[in-house]
Amino acid sequence: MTPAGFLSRLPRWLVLLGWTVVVLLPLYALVVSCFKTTQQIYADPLGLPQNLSFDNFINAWQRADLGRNLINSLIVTGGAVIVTIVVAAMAAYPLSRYGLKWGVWMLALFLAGIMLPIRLASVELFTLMRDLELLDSHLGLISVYVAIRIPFAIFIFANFMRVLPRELEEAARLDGAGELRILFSIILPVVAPAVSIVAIFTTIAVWNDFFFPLIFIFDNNLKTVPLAITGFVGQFRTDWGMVFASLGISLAPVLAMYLLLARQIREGAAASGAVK
Amino acid sequence: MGAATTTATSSRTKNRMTNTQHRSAVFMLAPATGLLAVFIIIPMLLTIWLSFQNWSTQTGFETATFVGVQNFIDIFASNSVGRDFKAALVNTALYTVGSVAIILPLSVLLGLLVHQKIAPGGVFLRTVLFSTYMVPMIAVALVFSKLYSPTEGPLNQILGWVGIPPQTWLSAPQTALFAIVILNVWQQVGYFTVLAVAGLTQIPDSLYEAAKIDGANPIQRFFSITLPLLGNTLLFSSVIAIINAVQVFEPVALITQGGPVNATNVLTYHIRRVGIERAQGGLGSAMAVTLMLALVVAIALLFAFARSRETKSA
Repeated sequence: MTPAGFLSRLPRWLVLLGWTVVVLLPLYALVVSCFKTTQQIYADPLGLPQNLSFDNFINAWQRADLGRNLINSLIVTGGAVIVTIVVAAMAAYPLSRYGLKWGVWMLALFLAGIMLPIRLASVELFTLMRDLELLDSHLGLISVYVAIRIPFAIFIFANFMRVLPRELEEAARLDGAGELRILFSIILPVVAPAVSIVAIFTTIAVWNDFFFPLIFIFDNNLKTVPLAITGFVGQFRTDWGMVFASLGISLAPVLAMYLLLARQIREGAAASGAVK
Repeated sequence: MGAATTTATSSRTKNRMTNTQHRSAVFMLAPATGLLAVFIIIPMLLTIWLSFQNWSTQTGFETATFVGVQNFIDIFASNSVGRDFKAALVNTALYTVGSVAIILPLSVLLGLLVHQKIAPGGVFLRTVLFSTYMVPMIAVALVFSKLYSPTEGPLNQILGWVGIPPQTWLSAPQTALFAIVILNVWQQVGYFTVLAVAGLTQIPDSLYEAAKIDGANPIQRFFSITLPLLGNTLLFSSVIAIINAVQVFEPVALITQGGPVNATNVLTYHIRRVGIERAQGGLGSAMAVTLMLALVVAIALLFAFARSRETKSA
């Protein structure tokens, strides 16, 4: 590269470098805080930990019983992912493959669901869940998450299914296969990338969510990780080391998934914006 | 063209298949429609219905009594109920405008820089930029609450290195809401940058080449090619950013509790307080409906603006 070319690129390069630092600084602060005591976090929040002590993780595991919360989060996230995939694929299949007259309208209605600000109706949703006896239940939480994720999932599935060749299911239909069987054993395997996009984005949204567990879950034995962690804050004297270690535990699986699948995840996010 | 052939084939098979297909379509759409209806549509409709009722959240929906527009009169009155609501509405609007006004230009800027591949390590950069999307809002809020510590806090120390005096961040009513905007920007920009990059890759290079030959400088090229052709992406991004922003809750609930002196009391937080803690469901619903109306108007204006731009350029 010529010196002049380098100089002309320098300002733009500095902006990118600057934003990278801005992104990494809080993440760095989170990671080092996992290994510090509360006193050290207050005295020197950005310094490296004095020694690599795993006390905070041990405390989170033993004293705060975070393992139970992890199991709850796994149940809720796993349940929401599986049900979202099944239900949304079932809806996207007829809408994108049958050539129904009202299919386009129905699809547009589902897509409009992406824009509904459901948090504004949280008081009514809470009361409705109370009437349905779905408070303090993982099933209730899963149902709400599935309902929230359905529009996005249908959008992704419909986009992938629409472009498949018609022969795919026609042969199976002549063999007498039922529509559900065609969907789950022929169509769904072909749109595996859509399945993984839906699975990944549902996982991130549900695993990280704090809002709905806060409204629906009161029993300590049923709390998901984010709700449990916020419970550590402000009880008597907050053990910030343990709070950050718990946040680290909660973040680790999602971050690991991201580092493994970064490209697919970014492409999935881009696909979510591909509204034509 | 592909779509046309598919439709032709499907209309031929349709005659044979119509009945069975209609039946199986209804069956397959039922679960998704049902879940969406029960857990999203009905609560939203209930909110609209209850905004015209006097209703205590502690009792069932059947105890609601019709009061006309009294709830709306109450939340815009000049007593403490009205003052708190109007302040929360203003806070939510400021937070939303602030977030969108920073996130969108920043995401386009970062998107352009990543897209232009001006530096090696583009994959690494993209990975870092989008990583904030993985971080739960509670972690963002709690980490920033420590970074924002007043006087000797880490951010103030860093500002000190470049000669900027310490800021009050969350501890003063003048700056607290903006501090919440910043942490929201930190978390969201990565996602919108990915959308911007996706939009930029759709713009054919030949347009830029032609403009270069015509002697357009980079700034002219940006305003005459990039920005207009990014229109759809920007429209979608701003709608999503607005809908996300009006529903802000976590940082307020976790680190400011609406303070100091109600400076960060946003509507989702305020509605929960009124609707659940004070059990005034009718008032809370009227507040939610007011915000929904404001949202509908804002989004309609955005679409109208986008359409007028389109017809002008066409």
